[in-house]
Amino acid sequence: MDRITDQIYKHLGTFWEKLMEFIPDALLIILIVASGFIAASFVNHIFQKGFRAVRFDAWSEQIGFTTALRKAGFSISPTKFMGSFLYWFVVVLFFMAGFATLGYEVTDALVSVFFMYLPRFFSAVVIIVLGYFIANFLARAVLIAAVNAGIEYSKLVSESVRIFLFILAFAMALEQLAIAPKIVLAAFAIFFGTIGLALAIAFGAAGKEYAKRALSRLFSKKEEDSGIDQL
Amino acid sequence: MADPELAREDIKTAVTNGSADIVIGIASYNNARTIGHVVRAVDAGLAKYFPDQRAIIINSDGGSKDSTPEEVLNAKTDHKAVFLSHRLHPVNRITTPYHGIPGKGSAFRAIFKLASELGAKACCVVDADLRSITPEWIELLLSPVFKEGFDFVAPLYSRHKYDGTITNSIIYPLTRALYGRQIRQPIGGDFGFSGRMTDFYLNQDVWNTDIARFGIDIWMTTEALAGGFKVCQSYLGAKIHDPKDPGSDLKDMFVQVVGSLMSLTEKHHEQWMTLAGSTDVPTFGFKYMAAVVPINVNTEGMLRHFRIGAENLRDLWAGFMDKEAVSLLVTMAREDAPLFRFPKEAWVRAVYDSLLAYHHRKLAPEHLLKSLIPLYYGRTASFFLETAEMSDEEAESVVEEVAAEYEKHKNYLTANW
Repeated sequence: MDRITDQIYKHLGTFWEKLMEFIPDALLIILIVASGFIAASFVNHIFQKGFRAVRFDAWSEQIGFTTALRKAGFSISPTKFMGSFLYWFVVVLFFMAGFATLGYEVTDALVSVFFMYLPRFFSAVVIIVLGYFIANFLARAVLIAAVNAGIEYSKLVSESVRIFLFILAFAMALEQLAIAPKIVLAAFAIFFGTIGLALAIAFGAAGKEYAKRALSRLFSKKEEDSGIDQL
Repeated sequence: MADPELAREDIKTAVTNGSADIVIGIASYNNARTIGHVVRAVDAGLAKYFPDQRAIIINSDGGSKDSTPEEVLNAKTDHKAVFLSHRLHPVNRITTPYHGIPGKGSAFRAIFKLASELGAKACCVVDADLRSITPEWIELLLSPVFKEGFDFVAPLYSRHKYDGTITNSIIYPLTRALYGRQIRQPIGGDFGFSGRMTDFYLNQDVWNTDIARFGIDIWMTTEALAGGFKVCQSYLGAKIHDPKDPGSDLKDMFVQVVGSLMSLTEKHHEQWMTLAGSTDVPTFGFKYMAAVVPINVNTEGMLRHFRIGAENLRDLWAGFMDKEAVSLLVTMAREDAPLFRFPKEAWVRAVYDSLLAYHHRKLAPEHLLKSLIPLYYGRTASFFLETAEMSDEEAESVVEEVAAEYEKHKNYLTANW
C-alpha cells in the first residue's frame, strides 16, 4: 500500500514540477496571443482606413469582387472582408509564434510546417482570385460575342466557359496546396475528357444539321450586310 | 504624272517648288473599280474651280491587292468635257502606302503629314469607293476654306431613309446635343479643312487608337467642334458608293466609331457640359431632290438580334441601367414585328447610361460597346418599322425628333457625369 502511495506522490510531484515549468510558457503564449489580438485590431483598423482612402469598395464593385462576396454568402463590404481576413491572419500568426516559443519538438515541427505552407497558401489564394476574375471576364466576353453572333443559348455557352475556367483555377489551387494532387489530376482528366467526348459525339450525331444551318445563316447574313451602309 | 515607285522623301520635290496650295487625299484599299472615277472627278474639279492653284492628289493606299494605285495614276481626264482648255499648273498625283495600324485613320495621317509638309492652304479628303462624286464636290468642300475662311467643312448628302443608321441613331444626334452644332453627317467621310486644321490634327497623339481606323471621321468632326474652329457644311447631293466589303464587320465599325465618340466625350467634357440646345451651321451648296438608291432591309433579322440580346444580356445591362429600363427592354423584345417599337425616350436613356458607364468605368469599354449592338439593332428595327410608309423627308423628321430628345435629356447626362 505504501509503495502505491509513494508512486502516486512521486508522479504527482513530477506532474507538479512539469506544470510549474509549463505555466510560464502558457502565460507567455497567452500574452503573445493577447498581443496578437491587439496587433490584429490595429492592422485591421489601419488597413480599413487605407482601403477606404483608395475607394476599395467602389473598385471592388467595378471588378465584380463585391458580387463575388455576396454570392459566397458574405454580406459585409469588401473593405470589412479584407480587414477581417487580415485580422485573423495576424491572430493565427501570433498564435503560431507563441507555439514556437515552447521549444518542443512537436510544436517546432508544427510551426515550421505552418510557415512553409504559407507561400503555397498565398499562391493558391492568388490563383483562385485571379481565376475568378479571368473566368468572369472571359465568360462575359463570350456571352457578348455569342449574342452578337446570334446564338440563342449564349448564356449557356458563357456559363460553361465560366465553370470550366473556375474548375481549372480550383484544380490549380488544390495542386498548389498539395492536396491529393494525383486524385485532382485524375479527376480533372476524367471530368473534362468525358465532357469533350460527350460533346464530340453529340455534335457528330446531332449537330450536323445545326452546323449546316448556322453556316448558311452566317453567309446569308454577310450578303444582307453588304446592302446597307450603317455609317 | 508621278512615278508609282516614287519614294516618300522624294514626294515634296516632285511637287512644284516643294509646296502646294491644295491637297486632295484619297484613302483606298482595293478600290480599283471606283477610284479611277473619283480621281477624274477630283482632277476635273481642280481644273474647273481652282485653275490657278498648285494642287496635288495623294492616294494613301492600305496595300491594295488589285490595281488601285495604277488606276489612280492612269486615270485620264477629258478637260474638254468640262469645258476647260488648260490650267496653269498641272495636277500632280501621288500614290503612296501608309504606315501604322491598318485603317482609314492611318491613311489620313499620311495625307495630313504630306499636306503639312507641302504647306497646303486647303485640303479635302474623299472616299475612294464613291460613284456619285462630281467635280462640284471639290469646289463645295474647298471653297468654304479658300474663300470664306472656314476651317472645317462637313458633307451634307441626300441619303435613303435607311442609309447611315449609326449616324442617324447615335452619331448625329449625340454630337449635336453635346457640342450644340447641327452637323448632319459628322462621319460622312468626305471633308474639307484648312492648313491650320491639318496641323492641329497632325499634332494629336491618337494614332495608336481606334481613331487610326474607322474612328477618324468622328474624331475630325469632334475636334473641329470642340476646338472652336470655324465649321460649316456643304450639300453634295446623293452619296452613292460601291457596296461595302462584305468582310467589313459591322461590330468592329460600331465599336470603333461609337468607342471613339465616347472617348472624345470623355476628353471634351469641359466643353460640352456647359452647352445647352443647338444651332445650325452655315450650309453651302444648292439643295435639290437627288435620287437615292433604294435599300432593302432585314427588319426581322435585326429584331432577332435584339431579342437574343434582351434575353441574354439583361443582367449585364442592369449593371449600368435602371432595373425598370431593363425590364422595359425585355418586355419590348416580346412584341411581334409590326407592333414592335423602341421608344426614342428609352433609346436616348440607354445611350446616355452607356456613356455614363463608359465614364465611370462600370464595364470594360469593349464589353460595354459590344453589348450596345443588340440595342442598336432594336432601335434601328423600330425606326424601319416606324418609317416604313414614310418618304425620305418624313423619315428625316423622325431623326430630327430623336435629336431633339437627346438635347432635351442632356441634363441627365451632365447631372450624373
